[in-house]
Amino acid sequence: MLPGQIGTITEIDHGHGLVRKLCSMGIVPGKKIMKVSQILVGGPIVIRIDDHDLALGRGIASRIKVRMEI
Amino acid sequence: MKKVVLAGNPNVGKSVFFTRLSGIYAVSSNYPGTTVEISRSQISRDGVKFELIDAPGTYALEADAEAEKIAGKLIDEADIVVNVIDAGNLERNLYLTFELLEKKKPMVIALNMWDEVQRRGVRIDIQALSHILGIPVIPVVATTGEGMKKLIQTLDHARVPIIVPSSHQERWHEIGQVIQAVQSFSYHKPTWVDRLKEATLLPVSGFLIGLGVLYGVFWVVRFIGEGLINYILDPLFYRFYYPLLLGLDRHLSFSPFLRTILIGHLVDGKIDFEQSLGLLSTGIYVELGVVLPYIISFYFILGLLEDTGYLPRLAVLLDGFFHRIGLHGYAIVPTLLGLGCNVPGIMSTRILESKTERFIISVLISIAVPCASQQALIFGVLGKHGTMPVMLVYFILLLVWIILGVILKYAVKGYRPALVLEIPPYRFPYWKTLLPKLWLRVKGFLKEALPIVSLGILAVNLLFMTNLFPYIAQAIGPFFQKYLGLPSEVSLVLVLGFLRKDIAMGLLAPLQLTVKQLVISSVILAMFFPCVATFMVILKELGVKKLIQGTIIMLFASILTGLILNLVL
Repeated sequence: MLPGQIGTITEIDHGHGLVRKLCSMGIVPGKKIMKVSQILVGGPIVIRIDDHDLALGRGIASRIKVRMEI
Repeated sequence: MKKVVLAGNPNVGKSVFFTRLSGIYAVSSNYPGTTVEISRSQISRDGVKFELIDAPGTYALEADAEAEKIAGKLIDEADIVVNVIDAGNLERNLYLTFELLEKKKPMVIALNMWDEVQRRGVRIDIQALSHILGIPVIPVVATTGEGMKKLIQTLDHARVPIIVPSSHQERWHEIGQVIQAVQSFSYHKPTWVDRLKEATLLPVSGFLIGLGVLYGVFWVVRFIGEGLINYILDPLFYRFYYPLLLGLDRHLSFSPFLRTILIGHLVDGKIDFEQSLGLLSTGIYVELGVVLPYIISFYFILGLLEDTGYLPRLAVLLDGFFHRIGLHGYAIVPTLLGLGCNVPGIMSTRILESKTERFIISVLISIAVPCASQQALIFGVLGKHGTMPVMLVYFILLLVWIILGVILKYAVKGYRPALVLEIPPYRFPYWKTLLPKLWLRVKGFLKEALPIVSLGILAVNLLFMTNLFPYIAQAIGPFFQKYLGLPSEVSLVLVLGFLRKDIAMGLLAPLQLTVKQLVISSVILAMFFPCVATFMVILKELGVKKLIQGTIIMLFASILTGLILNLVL
């Protein structure tokens, strides 16, 4: 996923605790997200969800599967 | 007295809301047995008293994090729950609301930041929301106080919601339905301000802006701190406090011991605020005249960065870098503070989530981040030899910081939470929330640091009365000569410098050292913990075991660095 692209979350492939944490913050399958930025030197990924920005560590971000919108 | 608990997500303006309701008379304390801080206050309305408790901001109640467990407990003890919601982020906030509803406590919802929502063109049907959830919903603007009166009146109408508990999967479905029923957006075209806001998070422009902000912060903090010292505190101390001490000194001549404890030793026949070591001379001066001004200026700027919403962005930008040494982006706050004074730097490590992170950053700050007075020492000793040696010392310290950080990352095991951070929108800071926060923090520093620093100064004073230091210096002098290439007189300076940087500088100057020897000595002095106050704060924040571990790391690292420098330079 490149900065500026939009997609829909299909699956979160991670341990139960993290899924729940992401869930409580509104990151759930079916949600539309946009990737805003990818910070340099292995920094976090910034995504936009419902008009709000969230930063996720790369490890977590890579576990969120997204269906791209064309 | 009824207990009213404020519950809500992080970044919904809950603490501003709390300050608005309670005034500045809040008492903040740790929840028993934890490091999670909660604020309490009492409010009265029409003669009825309420106890107001600010629960930690959480996204959920049932997760494993300490803050969430405590929020859950507080809500179980509550008589009335006020759920503070960021109206501009209704959907996500409702997740916690649904968990709160399940607790079956009388509840009221405060839709905060109502003004922001209206500006952005979002419409929320308050009556419909109140009807669906079965509890009162009051729109408020905590920063200006709008709607707060109505909210207090509504506490009596708090109602126990009647809902059917649902599973986690169904919950988002339900929330989606609620949102569809009550909220509608109108189109909003991005302005140049929006683009500028976004630029602070893009890889390249974000870094450039971040560097600019860091440089600006550093400059402004020093400007305010030094201004306070030079134009307000020093004149006060020398014009009014000094004569007072002199008078007291005369009255104490009957007991030399008491005089040494309170006033300290005379330097060149005078009381020296920095070197006399008395509780009333050095004790008071170091805390109120040297550390306090930097505390005020740092916390003021930090509050500004927090309230505008830039701080989380800075943390996100620097996260990748800090991640390499096993920390996350918020570690920039203690590091920055540490450049002024290590004491608040170490106290501010509380914003980090895990004990492991707090230990690592505390060790890094106290060893490789020189505080203002250590920097003064570096400049004082090396300044006359040009900027190159000074730059060299800073460069060596940066290198030590990075190498030590990487080593600690692998050596210290422990829980390091993955980064999931909400980035709040930019907001305009309000004096009415900024100043009470500054006051609370300064008060916290005075209350917590004053007694322990005084105790430390007393301890050093007593140590100096025994002849322990010269004895140690004599014993290790040959080692210094052989391996660090320093004359054995320097060993006394370094041993003294272990606790007393100020003396060390004065003693190094007359020793006729070469530039190389000066660089090595000042690096070692800078790597030692800055002062006895730092020792005491680490002891208080992290415990005896961590203090001993940290001290051992510090001794090893500084001697090793000295050895390497002697070979390389």
